[in-house]
Amino acid sequence: MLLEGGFFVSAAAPVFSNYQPTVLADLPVRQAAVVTMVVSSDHAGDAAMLRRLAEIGFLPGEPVKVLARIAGGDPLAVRIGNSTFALRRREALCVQVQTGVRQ
Amino acid sequence: MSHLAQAVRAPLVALVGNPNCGKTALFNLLTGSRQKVANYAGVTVERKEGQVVTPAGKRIRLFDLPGTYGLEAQTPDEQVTLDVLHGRLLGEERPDLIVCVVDATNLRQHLRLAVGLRRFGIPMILALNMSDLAKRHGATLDTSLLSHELGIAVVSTVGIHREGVVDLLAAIDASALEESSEAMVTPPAVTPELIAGDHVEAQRLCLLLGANNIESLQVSDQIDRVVLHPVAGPLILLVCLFLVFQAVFAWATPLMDGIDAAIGMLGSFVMQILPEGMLRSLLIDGVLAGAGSVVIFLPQIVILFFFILVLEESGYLPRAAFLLDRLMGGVGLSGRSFIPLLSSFACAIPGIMATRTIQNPRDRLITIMIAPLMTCSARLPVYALIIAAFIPAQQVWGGIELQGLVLFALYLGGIVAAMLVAWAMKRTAFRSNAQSLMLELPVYHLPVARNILIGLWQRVKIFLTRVGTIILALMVILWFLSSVPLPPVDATGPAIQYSYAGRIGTALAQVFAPIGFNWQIAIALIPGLAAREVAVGALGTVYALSATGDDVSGALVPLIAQSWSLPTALSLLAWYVFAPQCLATLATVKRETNGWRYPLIMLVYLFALAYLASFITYRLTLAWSGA
Repeated sequence: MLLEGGFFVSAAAPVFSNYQPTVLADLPVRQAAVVTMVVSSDHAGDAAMLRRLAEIGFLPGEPVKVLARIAGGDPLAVRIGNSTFALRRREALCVQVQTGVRQ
Repeated sequence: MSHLAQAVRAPLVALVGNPNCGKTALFNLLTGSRQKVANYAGVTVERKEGQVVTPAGKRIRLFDLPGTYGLEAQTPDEQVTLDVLHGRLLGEERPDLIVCVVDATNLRQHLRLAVGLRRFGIPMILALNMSDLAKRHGATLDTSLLSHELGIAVVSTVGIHREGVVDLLAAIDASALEESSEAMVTPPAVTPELIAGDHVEAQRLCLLLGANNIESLQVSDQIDRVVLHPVAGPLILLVCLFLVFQAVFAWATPLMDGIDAAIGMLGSFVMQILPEGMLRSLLIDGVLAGAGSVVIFLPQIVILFFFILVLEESGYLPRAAFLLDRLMGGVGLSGRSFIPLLSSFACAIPGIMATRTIQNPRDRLITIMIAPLMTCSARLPVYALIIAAFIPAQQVWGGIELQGLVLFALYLGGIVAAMLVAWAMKRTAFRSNAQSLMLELPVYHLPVARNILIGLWQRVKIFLTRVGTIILALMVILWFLSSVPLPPVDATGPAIQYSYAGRIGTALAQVFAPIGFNWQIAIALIPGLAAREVAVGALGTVYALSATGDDVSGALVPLIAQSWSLPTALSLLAWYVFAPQCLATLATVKRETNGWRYPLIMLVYLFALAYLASFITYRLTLAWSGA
């Protein structure tokens, strides 16, 4: 399903309790979450960047957590699926996540 | 290309996959090459070609291609791979067979690319690489099940064992290489929806295989808790780099003394067996004093490379890039520029090549332009010579070697200068938006001793080859120019003052007088353009010929300590922080930027900065030491 301004929402979203939407950039360190969608935040994010985020694994349903943040919150080290990537805050702002996942 | 030539050509097989999944390790195994492997994304940035004869006797051409995260290129190195897949490479058809290499411990990420690759319609074999690691984590992957699901051959491979490619070779033999004349398929444009579709399929396969969380990331995460810590992380990085430079001086000294003594003995031997004359002068003043004074620095270069190789092999390198991203962001670059810049400490040429992993063309250009400001290993002999002559070998602040500290400061000076230049460029001609990072942090691996030894041996070979060829040749030419014409009979000074080199040096000294260089230094700067360490050899030859006594080679350090003032020495150090880079670097810049514009700008700006820095250093030290 396509959303305005974004490109997709999860088709295979897990079951949630305590549904808490937030963006990856603001996720506390080591809190488990799941990607819901990747959208361009208003001040940044071109198509190439969104495509690259998808290519490196930021896709709906993927488990995600922040491993570390440099003082000031930029950049972040992020576990996505089974991989680890360093992202800048403006990239992490484009990734919408949900916490409170019931495994 | 004629049809006949096409027909007799060996079939083309291409290794394709995500970055850092072990393609080059497989390539090395299959072809017997020794291409560089390391534990970070983007080690391979160009196409490498090799020949393989399969067990069945088929001869194939094998391409090792840069890793790619997706099927539409975002960086110049990915473009190389996609061009090959689309058949856009000049003089080449599309590959007859793709070997899609995936990391068996991270199928969740890597199978997605394999699923997407099928859209190219090229016959494909899937290689589950690092299958030994997957097995150690308790996952026995059912290759026949995966093969059935995907409809292609699936094999397990191990890039670090000789037997690791047996199954892959058998699968290549079993594939119908010669008959692959399938219709050209142009895959659809890559959209996030398409990737999401591939993801769903890859997830289904992973669930089927029970391969969703194979690699245990616990150890890696434990290390990262400390290494990526906001406070501890940067401190650890700083201490690491600092220790490297301490070790370069502290560990190398005994070895260097040994080489020095050996050269001295060789000199005495030549003195004994040869009568006084041109030949003796050529061997002693040209070869031993010239090339010999460069060889002495081999231990320091080996130690520096040992540390660089350990950083590359362990997986720490991208972490350092992560820690420094903010600093780089301050001047408008991203952590992505860090790995090319770090490579430039070895040599600017691989550093400039590594900028192909940078997405933004302007950022890439800036990184290319500042890469020569990173102190390459060829400058180490120049620094080490002057430091040994002018900085006392004493300890300060409870055990820190002063010489190592000064060396650290010089490296830091280059880095700060690079950041300032980047900042200035970003604010003038190279404006662009904030840049992306998206840098993979690989799982830590214990460095493999074999890889480190091979890497070190290759560096030793490169260094000694340079000494034996270009440096030796330049030294002989310089010796000749410094020896003819012979001085008049009523000459009072040393003979070299009357030679061609002496005259050129005296003329150039006019230009360099404001920054404190004498005519001997002025002569040495010219061959230093061909290769920077030649400047040391040139000083060796020039001073050996200037000496009136029978001083044998190897004694360059006390010689320059006597004849240069401190302001001159510091001024030369400052010069070499910026030192207009060697010709090979300029040629690489020309190739990577497709023109003369940027190498020329580079040459001019580095000359200007070098002169300015030397002038300021010289004048300040003069004023300070005079006061």
